[in-house]
Amino acid sequence: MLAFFQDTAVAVASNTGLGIGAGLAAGLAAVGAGLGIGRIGGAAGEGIARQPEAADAIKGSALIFAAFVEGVALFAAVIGLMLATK
Amino acid sequence: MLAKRLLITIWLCLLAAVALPAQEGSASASDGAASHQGAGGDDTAHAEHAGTKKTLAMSNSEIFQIQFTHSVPYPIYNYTTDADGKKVGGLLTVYNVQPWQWTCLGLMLLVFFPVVGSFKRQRVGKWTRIMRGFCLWVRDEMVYSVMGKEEGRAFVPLFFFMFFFIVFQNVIGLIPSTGHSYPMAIYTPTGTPFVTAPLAMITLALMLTLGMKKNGVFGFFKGLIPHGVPGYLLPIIVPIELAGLIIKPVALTIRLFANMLSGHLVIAAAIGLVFLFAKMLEGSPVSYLTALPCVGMAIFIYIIEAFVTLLQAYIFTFLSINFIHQSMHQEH
Repeated sequence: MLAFFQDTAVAVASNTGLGIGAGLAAGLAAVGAGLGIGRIGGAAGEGIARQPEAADAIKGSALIFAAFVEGVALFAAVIGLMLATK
Repeated sequence: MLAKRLLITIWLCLLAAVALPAQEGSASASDGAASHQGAGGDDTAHAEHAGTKKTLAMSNSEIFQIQFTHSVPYPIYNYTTDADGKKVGGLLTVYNVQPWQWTCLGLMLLVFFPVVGSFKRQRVGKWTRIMRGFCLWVRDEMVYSVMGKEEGRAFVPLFFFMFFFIVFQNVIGLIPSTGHSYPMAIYTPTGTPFVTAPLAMITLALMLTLGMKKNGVFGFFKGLIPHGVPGYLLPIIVPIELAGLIIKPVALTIRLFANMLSGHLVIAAAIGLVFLFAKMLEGSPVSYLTALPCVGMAIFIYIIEAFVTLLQAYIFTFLSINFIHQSMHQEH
């Protein structure tokens, strides 16, 4: 088990900066996307509660808006991947 | 009855999949030492590289490397040869995802020929009925709801193809597989930007050509600029709108490929934890217990992924419809 942690420590120490950068990219993107999709979901739920007959239209457009937010988060994820695999 | 037959077929496939790579591994073990030296930067040496080392002998980064290399496309066959007769990458290079694209096209023919035929003969089978409902949904809820009935009629076949091609490519990557060569190792074609970018380029080409046909070449670029913008803002607005024209298909590309790739990477990471724990415990029997939560997590992500495959195909097609409709009917 000691050899395992030594191995891990060497791998981490050899590219610390890149690892921190990639982790930050992934984490901050998750924070931003979480805030955005949370607001979209909340508003969609509120809209459906007020007007249940419009539920289908609201669901469809909420998915599209969520996809826009998610797209931006995934740009950050791709950059994180590029950093991590450098 | 059908479900039973299907299950038996799946189990036979799995057995064959386990048996075949084992033979491959023993065959490549003889020249393993030679190929291992060149494995550093050589893209075609994945299979040999994975086959030579035991899991417990690998370092942590090697375990993850082997898991992740298969999510990046690499050439499997080169047609062009250089002066020395050595095969090099060229225009006709076949990448590992391309056989699966052809398989998807073949599957689409198999699935949709009966659907087309069912309109001539009045008999409709169970499977045909499901696919007819799918087609109706794409036509009514996606194309007609945005473009309207008269204008959307001409676009229906294109978006049928776009939607179902992406769905088949996404879903075919969900089939668990093992091995190093075509029929045994299944890759997600849409998990690479080289597959999704051409699909988005179809959208861009249609946006430009149909927008210019409808509004005139000058009218199209004039229509990009919102009406009533004061003159001193034009130097800022014009580059932004022109960049927006290019960014739309780029965003389509990255959204689809990153969604498909990230799901597979998370599953690969969860499965990789199994091997990391086994290495950490030095191969003791306790590692069978630590493997259970890792596999559970992988299955959980897999279920989410199964939803995402359909959702991303829907979003790609729906945004394409919206973009093409917007460039044809610009707001003035």
